[in-house]
Amino acid sequence: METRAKMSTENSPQTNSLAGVAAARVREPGTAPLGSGLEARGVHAWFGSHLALENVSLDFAAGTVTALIGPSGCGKSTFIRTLNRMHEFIPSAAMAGEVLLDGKDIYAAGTDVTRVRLQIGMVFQKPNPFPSMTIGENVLAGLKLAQIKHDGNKDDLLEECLTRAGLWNEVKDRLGAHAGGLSGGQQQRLCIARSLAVNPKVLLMDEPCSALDPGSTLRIEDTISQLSKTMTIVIVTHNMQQAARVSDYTAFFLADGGPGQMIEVGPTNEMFSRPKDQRTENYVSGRFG
Amino acid sequence: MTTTTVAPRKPWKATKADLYPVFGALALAAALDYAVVAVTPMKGKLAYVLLFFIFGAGFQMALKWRALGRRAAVDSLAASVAIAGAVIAFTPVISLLLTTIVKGAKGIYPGFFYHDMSVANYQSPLNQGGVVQAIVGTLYLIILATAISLPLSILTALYLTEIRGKASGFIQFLVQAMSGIPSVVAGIFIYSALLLTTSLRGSTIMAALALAILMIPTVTRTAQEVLLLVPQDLREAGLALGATQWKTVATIVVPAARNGLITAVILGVARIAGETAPLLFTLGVSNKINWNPFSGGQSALPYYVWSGLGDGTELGIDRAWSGILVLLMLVLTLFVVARVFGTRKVKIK
Repeated sequence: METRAKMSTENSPQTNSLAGVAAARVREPGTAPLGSGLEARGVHAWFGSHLALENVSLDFAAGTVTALIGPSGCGKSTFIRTLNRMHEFIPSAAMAGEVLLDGKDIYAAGTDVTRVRLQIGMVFQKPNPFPSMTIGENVLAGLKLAQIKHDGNKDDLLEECLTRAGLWNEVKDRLGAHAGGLSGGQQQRLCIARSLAVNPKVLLMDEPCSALDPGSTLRIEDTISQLSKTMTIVIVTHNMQQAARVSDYTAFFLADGGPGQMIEVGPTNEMFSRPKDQRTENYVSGRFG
Repeated sequence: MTTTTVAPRKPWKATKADLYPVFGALALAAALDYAVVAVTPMKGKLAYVLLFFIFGAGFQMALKWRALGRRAAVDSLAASVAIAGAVIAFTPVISLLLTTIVKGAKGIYPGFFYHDMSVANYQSPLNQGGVVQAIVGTLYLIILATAISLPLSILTALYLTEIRGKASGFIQFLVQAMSGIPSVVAGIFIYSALLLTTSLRGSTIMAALALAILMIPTVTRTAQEVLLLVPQDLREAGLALGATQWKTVATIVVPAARNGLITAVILGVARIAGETAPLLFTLGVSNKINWNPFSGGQSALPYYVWSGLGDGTELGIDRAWSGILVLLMLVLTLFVVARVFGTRKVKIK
């Protein structure tokens, strides 16, 4: 955690209390809220006969933020979608390798895939709040969809999730309004709040800020920094400053005419200051990509 | 670069080991089904089907419950109900097709496709006469009705989706009202408006006009839906390049909706191909091929079927079944042709 490039520390007391709240909402007795992290072992991904991603092995330690960077088409998004079994929604898709959540392969036979996705949440590139639901209903949609019984007060959970996503102050007076009326940045933070309500162990974010203005982007980066105390975060980004700001570790992906591969991974400050691979250096210094 | 030796897997697909219990449970359900029908007062095909569904769905639920819990069991029940719905919906369709093929095949012989009915009547042996005049008539009707209604329908749809003029609401209402017109009314309309008061007589074009009245609302509604599916971004991209609205619509919107528009035409043709009632007042009669669509009576496959059934004799009804079979084959062929030639092949590397 020493390598973290901190954005803001001034509101850490609030963060600590939120971490306490999250720890109190452990779903399974005897399981640590963070688990032991996520590990990808030799992950390959195909679309039809086209190999899109080759042999990626990458550990995401619990409670860290890992940024995946690299030019378009290098397999970052494909990789992130193999991590919570979204890859298989593409009809011709195939994969190889293992993805271990708390030491258990999520691709093992007999795995309840809906439980996997409950524990490994996802925020998409384009904000996708449910159009027929209000802001409040959107945040709590996960409980309904995953049929989770929530023992505590739902209003408290609603406030907590929206606060953690940095949206509470902007929407607290119109929780009954439809989500379509929010701005793009607000919608994206609403989607983050929505994914927090089911208390995932891992949160995957696929270019969450690509369509947002700098202000919204900063707020989401703030949110990420705070969330990493209670969950493991993997974020795909094209914005290298963002990767430097929010992540503990950075992995560089590249498809050099062939399938996408992970070129290098390391602590973020090392990746940006003294990368081992020449291609990484070229990319992070802006010489290509 | 390393070469991959890892084989692609699809861990999300059910393996053989997963499927054995599923088929085992279905076999058990079938056995139990048979036993229950044998020992209880419940009898008949319906009892078999109903019990098989209940037992099958129940066993699948139990399997899922044991493996993954209650949520998966409910999911499995929903899947079973959806499958049952599909089976119930398709059973009559399959039955209808099989019946038509079995009964229709009796009267089919090569000459059926190139003889007309001037050499035979409905009571003649089945190896005399044919439906070539009706095939020609039906093709004429489909082509003419499509030629009349397609431009009108697409233009109406474009008015409703692109121009969105002041009359949009009213026209939308008219299109909806029009789609509820009983087909016989379309025939009577053409009869009373064009045939009764003028010296015009029933001919292919008159019947095609009646069919076009039926086709327009179907094609318009479908075309409207597919045009609405074209993203607004594309229109804006075209307009932002300095294009006029006409150019944007003609070169961007309509080509983007091309496959959907073909579906609209197919649905329209399906709507009219089997219509008999509008033909009764407008088509005139012919038992020979009439190549002139603008004068003289014409024949058509639905009309042939209707006459055969009306004839009432065993041979007449056999001919009617054969006519239905030919009509089905003809329509199916047209749809396949429309799909093959209408779908632009986009090569994706």
